[in-house]
Amino acid sequence: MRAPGRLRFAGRYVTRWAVDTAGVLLALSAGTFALVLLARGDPAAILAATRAGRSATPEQIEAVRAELGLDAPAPVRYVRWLADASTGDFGLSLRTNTPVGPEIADRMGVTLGLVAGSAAVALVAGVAVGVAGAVLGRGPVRGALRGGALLATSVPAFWLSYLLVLVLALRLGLVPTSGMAGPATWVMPMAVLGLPAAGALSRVVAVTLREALDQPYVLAAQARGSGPVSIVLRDGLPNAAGPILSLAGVTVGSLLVGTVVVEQIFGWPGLGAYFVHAAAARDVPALQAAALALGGGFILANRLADVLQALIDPRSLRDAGGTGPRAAGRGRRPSRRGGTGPREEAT
Amino acid sequence: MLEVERLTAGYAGPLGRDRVTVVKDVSIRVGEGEIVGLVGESGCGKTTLARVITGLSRPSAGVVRFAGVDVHALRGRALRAHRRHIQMVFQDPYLTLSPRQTVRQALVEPLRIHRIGDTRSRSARVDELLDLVGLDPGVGERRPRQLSGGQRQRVAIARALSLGPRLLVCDEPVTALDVSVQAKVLNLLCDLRDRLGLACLFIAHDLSVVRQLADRIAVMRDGRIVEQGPTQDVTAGPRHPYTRALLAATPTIDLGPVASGVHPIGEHVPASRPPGQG
Amino acid sequence: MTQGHRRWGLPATVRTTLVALPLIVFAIAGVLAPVLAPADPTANDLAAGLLPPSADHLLGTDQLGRDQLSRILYGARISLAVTAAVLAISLAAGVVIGTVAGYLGGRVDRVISRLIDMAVSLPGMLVALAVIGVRGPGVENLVIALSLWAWAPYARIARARVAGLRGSPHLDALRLLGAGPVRVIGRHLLPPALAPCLVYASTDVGAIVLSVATLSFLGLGIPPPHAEWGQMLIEGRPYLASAWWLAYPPGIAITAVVFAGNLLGERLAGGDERPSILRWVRPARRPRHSIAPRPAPAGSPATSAAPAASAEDDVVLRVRDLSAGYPHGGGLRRVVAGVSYEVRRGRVLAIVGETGSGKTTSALAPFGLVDPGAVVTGSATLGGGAGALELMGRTPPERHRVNGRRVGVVFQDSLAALNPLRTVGAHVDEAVRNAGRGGRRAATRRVSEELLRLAGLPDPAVIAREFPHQLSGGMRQRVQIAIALAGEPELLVADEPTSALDVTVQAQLLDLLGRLRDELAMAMVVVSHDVAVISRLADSVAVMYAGRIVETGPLATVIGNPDHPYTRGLLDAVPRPGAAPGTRFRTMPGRSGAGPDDTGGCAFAPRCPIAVAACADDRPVLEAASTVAHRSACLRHPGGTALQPGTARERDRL
Repeated sequence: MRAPGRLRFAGRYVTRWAVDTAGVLLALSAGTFALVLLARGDPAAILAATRAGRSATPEQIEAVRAELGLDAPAPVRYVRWLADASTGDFGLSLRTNTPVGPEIADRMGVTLGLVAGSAAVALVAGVAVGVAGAVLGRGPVRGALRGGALLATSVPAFWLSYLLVLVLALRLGLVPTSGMAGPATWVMPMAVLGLPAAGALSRVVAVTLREALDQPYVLAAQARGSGPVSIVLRDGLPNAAGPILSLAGVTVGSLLVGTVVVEQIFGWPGLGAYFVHAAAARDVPALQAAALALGGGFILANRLADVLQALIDPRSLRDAGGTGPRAAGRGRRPSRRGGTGPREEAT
Repeated sequence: MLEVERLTAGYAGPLGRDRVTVVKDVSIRVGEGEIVGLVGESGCGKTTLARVITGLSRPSAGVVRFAGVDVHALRGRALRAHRRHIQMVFQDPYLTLSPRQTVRQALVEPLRIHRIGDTRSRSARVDELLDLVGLDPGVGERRPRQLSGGQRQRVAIARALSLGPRLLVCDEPVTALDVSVQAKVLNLLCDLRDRLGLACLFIAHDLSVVRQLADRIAVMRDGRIVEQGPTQDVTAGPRHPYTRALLAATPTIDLGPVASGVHPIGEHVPASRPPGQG
Repeated sequence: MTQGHRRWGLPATVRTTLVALPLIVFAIAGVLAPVLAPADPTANDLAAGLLPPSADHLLGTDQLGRDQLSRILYGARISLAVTAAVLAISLAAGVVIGTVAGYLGGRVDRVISRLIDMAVSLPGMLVALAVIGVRGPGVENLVIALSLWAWAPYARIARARVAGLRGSPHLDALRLLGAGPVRVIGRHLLPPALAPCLVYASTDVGAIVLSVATLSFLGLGIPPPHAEWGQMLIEGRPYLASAWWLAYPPGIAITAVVFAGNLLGERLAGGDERPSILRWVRPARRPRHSIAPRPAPAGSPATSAAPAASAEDDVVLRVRDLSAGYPHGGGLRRVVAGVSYEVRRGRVLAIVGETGSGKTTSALAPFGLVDPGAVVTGSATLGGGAGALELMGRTPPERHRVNGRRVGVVFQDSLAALNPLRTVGAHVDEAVRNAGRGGRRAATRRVSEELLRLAGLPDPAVIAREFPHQLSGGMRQRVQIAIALAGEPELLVADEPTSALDVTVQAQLLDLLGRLRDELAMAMVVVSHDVAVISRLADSVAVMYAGRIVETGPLATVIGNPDHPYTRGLLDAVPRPGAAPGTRFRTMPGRSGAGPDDTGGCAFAPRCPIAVAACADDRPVLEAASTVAHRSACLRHPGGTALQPGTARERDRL
């Protein structure tokens, strides 16, 4: 398996990954669409009522039903909905009678900015605290870091924001209580979203890094005279990267979902707040669009983490190739690999 | 008693496709009360062969006959009845016992499965089995993690013997053990053969172990048996070059005239002497 | 561990119970809320609105005059009910689905696994919000919405566990014994699959409580007027700044339950941790614990494995009175005690012993390559004459100037000893740079390739680009040798260098080591459990039992004329080429596993066929047996000709 072979496996892996991801996204879209079927109440009636101002006549409802194509069988409606959705057309909001697509696009920027900011907080703080937790010996510093991390993951975001509002905004007057105007207003939402994520991340970093540092190859590196910094950077972190990356993916994804709460509390005009309003009003088209956007982002973040993880580890690529001779190694002693067998005798 | 004829077998590749053939056209026999050693290096197909003989895997061609019956044609009740005749001892004594069961539970389980005896007779049988493999009855209440490797392997052998098999297939049973423990387990296998008339297919990668144990030796390489015959013939006059290479590489304590003559070791410790003060 | 015990002064089970205390209180409060609550949680009393805590209302009242304490208690009840329902549904569904998938394998498994992957990768909160968004709030919908995604992790855990067990010899053995699928699944797969699921469930309790509170906070969970923690917070929101008692208690309740769940999960899953291997190991000062119950006279020739040096400059490594132990139950449990040995230029010393005899620790402890929790004492000098360097008490940076430069090490498990993510070349390059022989990248690589060639690997430029898992065990072991040679060391330490290898490969590696010793005039310490293997390579042997050297001397003498009964026993266990099939081995009774401090006398005495009463009390020291170089630690010295005839008689008399 020379370099070109490795590239080939990487290519094959990425292709498979792309197909898989498309599959999951399709499943998500089907699930989102199925929300209509789960819905209590008739969307046509709701929209007709919105348009008419008060309750609508049966004729008006039937007209809306025909307009929305709700009389077709579910699979047909799904295909139509998916085709429309792929062009950005998610239909009309049942609540406001305005197109959902442009609204989603407008709000996306706000949410992505918030997620990017809090992801930075989470990754920097999480990895730093985690590495410290893995390398430090048992003692008060490590205990405090660990306890703090655990506490950060346990505090509900909405309550944490209350506490921050009480202290930072009302008592100290450092930042405004809500709204989105200027850097000061970003502090609290980013902290509320980022800190719990940092706590979760730091715990995984600490555990996996410590595990990676407990492996015999670290002893071997010490035996050939490598220093602790080199060992952490070359042997520890890369080998711990798998779980860390996949959690980082989950973290970024869950930040997206977390915007649902945080935007609501701080009054930000983002996707999360839109989602909550849609859910509260049972505005199915808006709900579908927001769920697809947030869910799609979540899934992409996760899947990206997976592919990164696989590209780091040369072993996973070979398994993806499907021709790994590792399966042959049933016995205690690892079997030699096909192509290099004769070399053993040649020496 | 056991006849393996022109057996070819393999296992499925990683994704269920491309079957890998690892046993090719193998024929081997084990007679009543005979110990046959099967020697080969890792990846030569020994373990796959053992799994096919015991019925854990199916062959792609060839027949395994036990007492004249095609093992792989058996189904249902007949298969269950047949199971009692061939048992297997696995390589890693740390993995063959359930960590959740005590030794006694592990030994009673096969009797329960085959609905043999009642609670009291099963308990007596367990004591008998423990005694047979040289374990103290008190070991019965322990769990595998409280046992040494050698003790675990004895328990595994006792469990394999619980149904009164006529053939024991041992897949590298001593590889994971220390030398002094290995010697005890090998002695046990010899004793069992003598006391119970048990036949044994003993699979190992270590020729030195096999030649002190087996009546006949088969040497396997890349899925084929390259040489087989009585132990003396194979070790004293190997015909296949691979057998010769294996013999040459096998580590022995070689001290020239001392080793080949009467060894001074052991003159002071007669075999019949009872165990020490402990 | 010991410090932890001392700090808390409580046994582990009590501490675990303490950790779980908020969860226990939560459960009790939930079940007994109607009994415990002082007032009706939904009874409005506008006249008594927003009262601060008092004797009547321990936690004050809210804006509608409802008793806060009662509402908190009823909030626990409803959270507990939802959590229990969700856990029951998802645990049962997850374990069954996962176990079935793992047991059946093949296509069913692939389909179910894909399904599980999808469910796990769905954003749970979003699913719950969406489901409630279309179905409306309410307890029943809440349970459905949360269960829809909560089952997936359980299924994944159970599947992984069962799939791992499916191919295990344990289940194969059961099948051979005639066990059917019902017994195999019910008795042998479900229980082990359930255990890690229950551990995960303790973390999940927190997650579910948090989800319920969050959904209620968003107005999508438990509808008013039912009391629920999240909902209490949103209702109290306008009064937060003035009525603190509305802001804190519900938040603290949620945090405590979630925190306890997380902590409990971590405790149950983690167990005791070992100190990090990178921990800065301070040079061993006098340990607090009494280390040697019976200090051996320092420098006494009786404790040394080799005679006093005649040609000082020739000695490459001299170890004196090496002891190593681990903190254990407030004291120190030694695994190696009073070990002394030395090895000369161009010579090979083999340390032989069985599992747990302390042979690896004896060989690696001088170089700091032991568990960082270990306490190592004694002395080890590298090099002779003017260049001699004491190795004990060195700081890690000082060790880097020895390890990899003056000493090279080859480890037993070559797959584990090489970093799986780096190429072979990267390993050797690093060793070359550490040894100060590196230069520009290409120059370093040239040195690396030369080393790989020296270790007998053909085509080093190609091998250098491979990853460890792509090489056979024998080739990986050669890579380790190349790494060890990078510093042109005086001494090579090899820990079981051939033990997991096929005999033909093993023979080639032993030949290589022998050649390297001759060509480079290196000294070597080789650790092995197999006397036969090292007899191809070693010049002298040290036999270890229970953490001490029991016999040492030139290879031929020790093997040909062993003095110590343990050495005899070990040699008896080695198969003989000439033995007839069915020849029994002579075996030693009992089992090894004792430590050096477990008996006051000779550790081998309980198993020894020639032990006398004194053996149990007096610890024998190494003293000359057949020749000056051949030493043995046995009171009886059965190898000595004078003692031999008397052996049996004396024993009978006793």
